[in-house]
Amino acid sequence: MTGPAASVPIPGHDPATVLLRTDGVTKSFGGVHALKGVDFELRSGEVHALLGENGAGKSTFVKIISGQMRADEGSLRIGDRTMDAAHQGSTQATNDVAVVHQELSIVPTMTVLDNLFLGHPAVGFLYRRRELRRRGRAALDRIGLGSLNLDSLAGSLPLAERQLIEIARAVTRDARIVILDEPTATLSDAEIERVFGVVRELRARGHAVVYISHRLKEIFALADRATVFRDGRRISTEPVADLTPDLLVERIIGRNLVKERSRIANEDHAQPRSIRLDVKNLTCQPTFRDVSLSVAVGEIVGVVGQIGSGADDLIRSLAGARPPQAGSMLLDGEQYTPNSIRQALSRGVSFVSDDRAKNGVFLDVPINHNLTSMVLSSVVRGGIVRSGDERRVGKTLAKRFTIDARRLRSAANQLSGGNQQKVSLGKSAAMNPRLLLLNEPTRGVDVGARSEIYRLLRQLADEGAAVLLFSSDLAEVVEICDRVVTFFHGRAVTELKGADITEQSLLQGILNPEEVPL
Amino acid sequence: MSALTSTPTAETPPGRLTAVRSFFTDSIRANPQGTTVRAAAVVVLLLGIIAIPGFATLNNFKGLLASVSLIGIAAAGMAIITISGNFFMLSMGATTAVSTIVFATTLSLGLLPAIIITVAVGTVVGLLQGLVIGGWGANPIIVTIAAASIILGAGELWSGGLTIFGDGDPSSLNAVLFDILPVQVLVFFAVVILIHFVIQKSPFGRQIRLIGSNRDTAEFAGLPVKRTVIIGYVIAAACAAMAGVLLGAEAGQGNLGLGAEFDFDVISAVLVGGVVVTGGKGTVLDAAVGAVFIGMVGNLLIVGGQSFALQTVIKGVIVIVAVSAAALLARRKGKR
Repeated sequence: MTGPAASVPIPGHDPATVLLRTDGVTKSFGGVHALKGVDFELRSGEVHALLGENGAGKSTFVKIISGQMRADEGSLRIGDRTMDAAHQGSTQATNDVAVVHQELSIVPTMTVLDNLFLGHPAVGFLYRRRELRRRGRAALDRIGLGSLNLDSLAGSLPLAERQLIEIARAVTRDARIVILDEPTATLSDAEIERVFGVVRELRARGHAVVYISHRLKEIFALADRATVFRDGRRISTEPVADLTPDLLVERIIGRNLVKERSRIANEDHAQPRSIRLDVKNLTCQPTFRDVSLSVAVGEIVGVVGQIGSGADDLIRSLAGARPPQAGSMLLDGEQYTPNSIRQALSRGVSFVSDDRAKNGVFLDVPINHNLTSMVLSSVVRGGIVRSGDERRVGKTLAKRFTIDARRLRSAANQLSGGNQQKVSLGKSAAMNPRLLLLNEPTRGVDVGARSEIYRLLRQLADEGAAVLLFSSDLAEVVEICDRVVTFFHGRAVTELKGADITEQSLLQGILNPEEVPL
Repeated sequence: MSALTSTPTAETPPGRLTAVRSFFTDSIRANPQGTTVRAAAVVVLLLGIIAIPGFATLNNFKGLLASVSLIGIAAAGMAIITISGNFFMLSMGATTAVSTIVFATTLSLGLLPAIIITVAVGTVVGLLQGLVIGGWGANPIIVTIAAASIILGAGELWSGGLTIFGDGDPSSLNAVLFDILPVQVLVFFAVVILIHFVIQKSPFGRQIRLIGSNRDTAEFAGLPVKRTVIIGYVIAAACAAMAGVLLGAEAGQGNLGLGAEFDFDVISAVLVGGVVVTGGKGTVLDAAVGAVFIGMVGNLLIVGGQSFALQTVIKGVIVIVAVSAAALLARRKGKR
């Protein structure tokens, strides 16, 4: 709509002005390179898309250019100020660069005005309400939100408007550079159009917008240039007009990385197996609707989708954490309607959550107490927890889940992230579940522990469990899943099997499939 | 993260000396504050024996233990609440006070029935609070403060604000067995040992500790969180009622004024003993040691001729030192 107008340069804003430049930015965590020698430039009046798989280095890069983190090497120039590695990470940068995160930092119990000036440098000891009202009004007008009441409670607004308030907050700070991190992940199409309008408005006013999204359709609709990250390196920066979706996907994955499917996946499809979980037309508003899928005994099935696609919410609903509103679930042919995690467990459905620290492990409790926590009755005789029995059961479980048995008495927080995840998995699998549900089975897990976890999942499936998992790591899904269902906007879209599961086919499934034929 | 995986302890060969040393380092690491308090208790004890004449007498020890028995019994119950992650039960003093009235009123039925009825009333009081806190998830501090108000008010209505003199003989609760072991102290020891055992060894106790360590994980693991928390409150209130029985018997009357300052003394014992306020860490025995330690310091001051006022000041200082030390230890541990 505002397309033609946006390309007209605003007086005083030379579109060629470079607002931000990085030279050779390098950052590593514990010996692993997150970024390697990244050169990058951002110009006034452009929307610059940042693309790459999870772990490609996008978020580390954003943290460095927004001053939240310091690079190990390399320099960063914002406007006419150059900072070498030693001087980055200060708050100076943050006045020029504003980041709008996926996770909203809007306080729902405060008004729009208060949210706009939350932590704003113009708010001193006194809260000069009239002055701030004027500036807040101007900021909202500028991004096309003039109709919004400054005194409404932020919590009463629809999600998209809250998202837009975050953007307006960046505008009140006169941030020349606005970074949007998946701003549309949880929005509907109509709401997305409003965000687009605001982004175009910012561009027209000479701001530079860094736009991070996994939705190719948005990139082609909105961005001027696109930079692709892979394995911590900047792979390419090109005008979007020169790109096609195919080309972009290829850049993101890297041709040489389109691997043959690992042999770990179960190729034994000839043998018919009994259906363990059968889901029909399951709906849980507002996250997913009309979802049908099944998991057989011995099978590992993946559900994948972007943030807000509902795929991870499906796992939670099946685990009893969020009962669905409509549809039917059968477990081994019997009605299955879990209203709580306890009920699900009593039917043999166990859940490994994605947030270990919050609800996956007991961090300051000994490892063997963690492992036996869900099978406590097996080590109780005569109303007493028998420590001998517990040691034995703990040792067996430790061996099975490749946890160092000598450390059973140390607290779980003494372990590395990967080993903690194995404890979390071991604890939930100790009961030999009929159906094992996992959300992000290897988040924050190093490569070595990762492959051990894949092997453990396969082993559990071979022993007669049905495994259903959600993961945002496509390489992982390719490696372990026998079958994958992709989700888009709350609906199950495509189903892939066996050798058809590639990163490319998955990416096509989770990006809007009808509108961007790849 | 990689620094954590390379702790050298796993490779140390197990000699006898290192075994002894690792026993101490293990216990310090597992519960730094509890170990420190035990060490401090021994130091204070030795100091008292050497420096304060009149401290190291059998009679004084008897009196010392008797004076901390009631607080120790309640602290055993309070420790369950704290370990379960519900901070403190601030209705314990009120429950103890009202229990003196219930005990005095029912004493005419006989000593044993009076004890049973008083403790039973206590469990009901605990059950109601447990239902609101464990069942509905209401804030434990606010609910128990409100409950204290209700309990004291109800006691006032019941007794008409009067002191009630029991119609019966509770003197066997004040007896000293074999001239050396006061019945109160016997009850104190029995209650502490019993509850300590339950918390350390029973599945219920394990669940209390797991819930206190991380309630979300406990719920995701399918533990019976609500039921366990409710039972915890029932036991804690029963302990407060038992303390009320002994207090009523000692005073020979039921009086709502008895048991004032009780909550603070009990909380002090729990914290100083090394039960961590955020839950999951510490034992019932720790709380009992805390009660004895505070009692011992107070006793030293009194025997040494200091005023009651100074004793109160020192008590507060000990609590602050203990919780500050715990915070500092936790911070150092986090840095490591």
